[in-house]
Amino acid sequence: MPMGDWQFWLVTAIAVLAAALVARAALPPRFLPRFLRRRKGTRAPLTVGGKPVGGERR
Amino acid sequence: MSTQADAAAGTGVAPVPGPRRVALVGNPNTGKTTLFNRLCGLRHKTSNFPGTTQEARIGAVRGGAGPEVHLVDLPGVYSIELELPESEVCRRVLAGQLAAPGEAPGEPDAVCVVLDATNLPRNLVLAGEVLRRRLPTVVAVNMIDLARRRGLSPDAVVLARELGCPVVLVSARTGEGLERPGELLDLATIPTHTPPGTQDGVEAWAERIALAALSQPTPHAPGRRPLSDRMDALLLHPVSGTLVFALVMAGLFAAVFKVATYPMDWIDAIFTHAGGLVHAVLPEGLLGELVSEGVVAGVGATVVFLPQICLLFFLISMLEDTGYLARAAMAMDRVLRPFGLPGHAFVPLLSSHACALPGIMAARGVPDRRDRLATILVAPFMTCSARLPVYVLVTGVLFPRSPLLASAAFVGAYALGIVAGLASALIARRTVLRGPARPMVMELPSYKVPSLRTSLLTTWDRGFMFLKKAGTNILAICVVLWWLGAFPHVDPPARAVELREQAAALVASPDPSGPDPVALRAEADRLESAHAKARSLIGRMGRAVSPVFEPLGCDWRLTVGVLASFAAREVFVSTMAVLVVGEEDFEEEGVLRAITSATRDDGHTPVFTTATAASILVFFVLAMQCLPTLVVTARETGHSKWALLQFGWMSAVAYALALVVFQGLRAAGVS
Repeated sequence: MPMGDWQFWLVTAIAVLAAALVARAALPPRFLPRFLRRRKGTRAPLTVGGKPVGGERR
Repeated sequence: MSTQADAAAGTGVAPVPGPRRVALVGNPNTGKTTLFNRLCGLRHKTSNFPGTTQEARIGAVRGGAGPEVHLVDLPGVYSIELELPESEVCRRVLAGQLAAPGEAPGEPDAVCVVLDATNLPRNLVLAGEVLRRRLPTVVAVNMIDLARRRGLSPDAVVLARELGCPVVLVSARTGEGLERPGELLDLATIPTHTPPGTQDGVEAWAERIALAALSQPTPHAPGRRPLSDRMDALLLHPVSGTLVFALVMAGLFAAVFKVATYPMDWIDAIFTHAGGLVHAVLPEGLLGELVSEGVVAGVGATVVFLPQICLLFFLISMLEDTGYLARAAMAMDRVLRPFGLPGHAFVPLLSSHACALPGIMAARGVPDRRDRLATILVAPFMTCSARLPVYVLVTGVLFPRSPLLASAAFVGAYALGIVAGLASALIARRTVLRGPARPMVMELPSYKVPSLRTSLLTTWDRGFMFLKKAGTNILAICVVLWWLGAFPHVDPPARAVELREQAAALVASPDPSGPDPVALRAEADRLESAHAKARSLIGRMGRAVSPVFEPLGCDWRLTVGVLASFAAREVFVSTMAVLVVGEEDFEEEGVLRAITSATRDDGHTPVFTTATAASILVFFVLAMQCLPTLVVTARETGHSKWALLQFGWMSAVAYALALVVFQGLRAAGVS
């Protein structure tokens, strides 16, 4: 490995980032470290006039 | 927009100020997407609703009196009360429980219900369900031009009075009633009536309102059936329907092959020049090699297929818009039934031709559990768009001088996937999923002149998604593969050193009868590059696994390509580009030609021989090479054993048939 070449360290850093992207896209979240997991989508409880409503079919 | 004024007047309620966020709801095939495109044009983005595989399109509508409106195109549904994924998305969006990405959660400020003017009784059932939610609502009665041609004239004032909200007669295809698009959504008001709460009640209510709003249709000439009935008789006939389907599909793929060739050549040339430009601009070293050999060559090898993907989706969108695809589904029902699949399976299987993920999700609509499992298990056999780059590359290798034969091979690959899926379904339904099938019931949409605008916008969407994938995941895979192929650095082989010394000696003292020093250096370069790649990390991995794929005709490069494609199938072409570029001079001949003319380590045997290309094609048609599909299969079936069965069965079938093809061709004397 060309350890003395600064370009080697740069391309290696880019490759590590790319590998993390690939893992994030291909693996289920439970196999990934926390910092690589995608954020979950927005969900909010149903309210009418600011009050929660129960019994809504899902 | 006189119709709007009439309708608003009919309710006796003045329009409220323009809403900020409007949900677009309607039955399938009501021209909802055409209306969305008419209102938003290119000002929209496509993604999935969070936590679902249902597509969310959000567009910006301008031109109304109030502030800008964000229009959310919800999936087409017959009812929002059903336990189907698309119904659930509609229900939750209307309840404020689910918001499209980038949108704040909360109930929409208004709802626009799209009705098919030619089929009001059924469409009004959904309108009744939405009106019960008591959200500001406007009803757009679409396809009014088509209804008039059929002698139907829905009365907007009567409809508005009965529904208790503004009603507008529009034609999204021609733009009638939509001269000032923003005004339509500004009309939404809270309904003054509440439809019945029971299913029977709302159906009777819809029937009554439709009767009140519709004038009597113009009677057809006695003794002569309507044109749509005569067309249905042709397109749904067991023989002529199947024949027309085969002809349409063959014509579609022939057009894709022939027409897309020119823009593909242009894109290939652009990336070839980009590779040369990178060499000229960046300093010599690893960074320049990463950009030219990893990024430009790898991404270019995928992006070059953009014209074919765009053309395919454009033509499919046009076909769908005419109403033909639903007829094709009915015609294909007879084909599916003997294989133990219900007619309901056709829609998931058709969706799987774009991508297996929505196809598998669409299988939730198959009522019987065994039928649903069988549909899910065989859906990935259908040719998805990720396989297209591989098909194009390999059929081009098989028939380089005949686009007609290449397109026939392309259609054959599609057919092989379908046949393998049907055969697998039959085996599954007679073994692990034994049980009866249910009959198919499907509503056929009206025949229409397809909307060029809608097809172009669909094509833009699909093309953009493809480019996005090429610019993110495929780019990342290319960078990783390049790094694995570039290190560790090794000393050049003795033969290359010898050739360089020989070339240097010839330059120092020229010998007219001796070999050309330039050719000697080129050969030394090729040997050095092949030696370095073969001893790189990826070369070692490929060699370790290549005994498994050698019986299929694969060398270590093809083995690496096949293994890399388990992340995403289209990565195969990029992988081959990254592995081949450096050994072959792609700046002279283009990336694709460099791949197809690449040679193995011996320097003369092509990487893609005819037998190998055929074997690779069969393998890619049949193999399960998509991790996300396996994850979704496990989730939808509720158990990972079905995903494992799917992976094991498809891989075994793919390997066995590819082996038979390669060894059979070799035995027949085809190298």
